[in-house]
Amino acid sequence: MKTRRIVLSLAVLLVLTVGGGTAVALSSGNTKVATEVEIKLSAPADGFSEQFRQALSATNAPASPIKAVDGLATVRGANPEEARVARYDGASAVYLLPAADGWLCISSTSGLEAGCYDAGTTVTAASVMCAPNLPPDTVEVFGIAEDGIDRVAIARADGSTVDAPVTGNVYIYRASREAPRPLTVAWEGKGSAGEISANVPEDFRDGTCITAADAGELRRVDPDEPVQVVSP
Amino acid sequence: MTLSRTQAPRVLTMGVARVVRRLVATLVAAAVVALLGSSSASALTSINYCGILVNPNSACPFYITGSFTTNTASYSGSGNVGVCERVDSPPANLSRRCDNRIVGSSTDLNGWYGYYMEAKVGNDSNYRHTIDGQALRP
Repeated sequence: MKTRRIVLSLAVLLVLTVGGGTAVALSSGNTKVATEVEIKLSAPADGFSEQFRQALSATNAPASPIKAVDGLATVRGANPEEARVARYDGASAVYLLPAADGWLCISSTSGLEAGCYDAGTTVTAASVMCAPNLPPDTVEVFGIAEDGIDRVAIARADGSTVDAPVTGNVYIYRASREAPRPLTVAWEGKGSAGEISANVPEDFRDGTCITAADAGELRRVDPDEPVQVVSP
Repeated sequence: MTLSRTQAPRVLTMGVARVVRRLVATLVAAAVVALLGSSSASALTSINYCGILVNPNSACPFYITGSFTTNTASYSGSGNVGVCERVDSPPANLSRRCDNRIVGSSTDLNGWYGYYMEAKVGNDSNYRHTIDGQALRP
């Protein structure tokens, strides 16, 4: 009887072991809205795609390898060994990294400028409303620009326009949260002109970004606890 | 030492039990090693959520809670579609970013793994689109 119980326990343990890597449906009530899967990372790219190599002069300046890149860049197969410095302001370096399938990633020692883009990108625009190294009550818009584009124009909700210089194929615009909402990023360059959304949401002022003083108020949890799905 | 007739079967039983216990311990150890080995070989686990049509300029009604190292929002179709990710740890916000088609929380969650988080994604365009959320953890 005891032996049978032991064998049964072993069987359960082995099933759990084997099943550890398979997909698990997470449920909220009766609605399955999330799955947990082991992901396969893209192999690190061995260099910039030809399209980006021609578009970016920053790729001519090799950099010391970055110690770590963010999760998105890791999943996209960004290669820190192939990173190139785009700009350095004396405190933080911004890098461009080749990624799998011809993608290009941007990363930085401050962690602020980060993202991955597919080939064919002329100018990008991303916004940061909360991040550890973002000064309080600040919004940042940053992006990559091809060679020949030396500045971008950021149009704001009050009708004003602010120029941001492009250095090493990267521009960074920072403003107070109280400043008008950035709406679009426009450019004119060597044979190209265009305008894209600045990707700053209408409610960009909402929410309180974490500060050192808040850290003590946060709740610790067991990271191995099952993920819960919250539904409306 | 001599064994009485009543002691002998009991000792024999204990011997079998000991063998079974050792076998169990070995198998458990092997299973644990296999489990640890499989988790170290797979660097990251992905929790995929949302994946439904999200209204214009709105957050996905579904979000996940737990502790994560990265939160990503993405739109897999073509064209320019603004997507946003946000990670809250009430009362504060740890990460909030938007980008075209794909955006991740970058290194914003470094040092916060092990704290309670609410990972969310949203659609920052003027049309309904399917937005995928993906949170990673070791």
